[in-house]
Amino acid sequence: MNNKEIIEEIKKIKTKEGDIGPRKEKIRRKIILRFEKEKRHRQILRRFVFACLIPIVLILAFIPLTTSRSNFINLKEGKIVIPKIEAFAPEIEHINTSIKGPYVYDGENKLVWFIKKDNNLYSVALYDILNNKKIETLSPSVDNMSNINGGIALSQEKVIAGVGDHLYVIDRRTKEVLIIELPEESLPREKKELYPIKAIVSLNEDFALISRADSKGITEFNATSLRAREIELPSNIDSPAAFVKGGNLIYFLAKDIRSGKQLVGSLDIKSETVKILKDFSPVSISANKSLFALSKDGFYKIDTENNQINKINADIPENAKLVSYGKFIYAVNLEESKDHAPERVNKISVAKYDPDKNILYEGKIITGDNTPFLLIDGGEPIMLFNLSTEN
Amino acid sequence: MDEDERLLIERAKSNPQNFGPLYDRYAEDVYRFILSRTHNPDEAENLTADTFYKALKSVKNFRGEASFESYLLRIAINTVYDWFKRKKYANLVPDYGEYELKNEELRKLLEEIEKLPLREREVIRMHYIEGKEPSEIEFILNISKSNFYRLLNGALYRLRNEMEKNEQQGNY
Repeated sequence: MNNKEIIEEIKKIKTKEGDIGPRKEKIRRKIILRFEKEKRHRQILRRFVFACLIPIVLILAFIPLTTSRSNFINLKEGKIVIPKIEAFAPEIEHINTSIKGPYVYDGENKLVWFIKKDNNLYSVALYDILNNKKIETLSPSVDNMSNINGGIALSQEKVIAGVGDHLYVIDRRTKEVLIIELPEESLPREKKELYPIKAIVSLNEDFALISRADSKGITEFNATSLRAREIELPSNIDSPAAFVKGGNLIYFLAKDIRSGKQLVGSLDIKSETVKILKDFSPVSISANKSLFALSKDGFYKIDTENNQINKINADIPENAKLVSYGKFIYAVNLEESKDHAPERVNKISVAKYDPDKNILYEGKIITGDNTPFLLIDGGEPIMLFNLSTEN
Repeated sequence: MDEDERLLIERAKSNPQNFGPLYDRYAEDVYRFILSRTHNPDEAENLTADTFYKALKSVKNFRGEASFESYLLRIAINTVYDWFKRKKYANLVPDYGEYELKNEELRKLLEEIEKLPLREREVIRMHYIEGKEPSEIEFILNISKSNFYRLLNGALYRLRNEMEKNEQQGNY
């Protein structure tokens, strides 16, 4: 048999041509059934997805609430601490300069690094107390486009200052200035043109924390790699107005968006844990091993590890500024004379608290000079204060 | 593709509910095509329904590169292949009731065709029994022209050998 013969044979095979009318209708019904089945499956799937989505949406909606709630810590009231009162004789050294705005004092070299404001233009400047007693402008002047004065902090080798959305990293030795334009805020509370810098604190030689207006977070900035990342705050807390360092924690003052109350919080950089102390509204804070706060009701020592608040029975004016130096907490208050007599008399009260020995040292200085002053204790310059209300 | 068919396809594309006339036109051909491969009328019904269901869902993708019948048969052959895989076709013993076989020799020949590898079998069946053009077969099986002739010659060679073996054994 050859191919041609095989092909001829194959061609003789025919299929039957019977009527398939009834089958055609059956097949049509089957097609319709398949469509209805698929429609039902789609409906079931849609309902299932919807039923699954509701709890997911609810969970997602509640996560910010639960997390923000969990950030709030109830303070346990401890005992009232009655310190031993002793007198001491602090000294001050007036500095005849018009330093305004945020500043940072380098006690070792007697230098004041500050944000200079001149006709709504802001720049970073340096005042040398020891040598020429002149103000040296270090950075270009910029309009910060807001009434937020910026922030400044000192690290081991650098000065990190911020005005508007410009960050200046200045070498403390060479005074070389590096200008960094910060990127748009990545956690904006609302869409704005600018997110001005409100406060800065240095962490170690490389890192700094930056608080920017209208942000839901804090920016951690590396001054060497110039990289930044955001640490989110509870949703109803405004970006911090001030930072202080204490042990492994950074404490901050920030407003509760809903109530407008000023609250104090702590941030553990390593674990990125944020805690906000509930129902406690301080005016000023400072920290060494513990957190110290001054509120309208008095002076407090807060143990943030055990969430315990202890009132220190000390007569410190509520507007005093708290500063930590060594093991002491200083509370400095300026009481300006209200009369318009040509010879004004200002009272500067200084309280120094030693938490280890529970001793409160009290001192008073009368002065007619209204310029910023250096507080000197035992011959050691502690801090520069500019408490005058005229500034 | 004639004008009438083109209009029917356009209408079906715009609204799947207009697919009815296309079904009426091709249902019989598709059913017979599937039946001649499955040899089981009930399964052929189900697979025809599956074929039209798939075609209806994908009619929007039909670009007219072949006739609509070839498009349907391409879906049908793939549906049948899937069914083969599920049903272990080799174990079934067909009675070829859908064929008109005038003598025992034709039945033997059909049995030999059924024993061919899948694609060789399809090429032989479509080309010589169903009388389809090579271009149509190439589209339905998604093969190239050279592949078509390779499969065809391979199938004929195999059939010739088997038939000669049968003749020697005195089967005819």
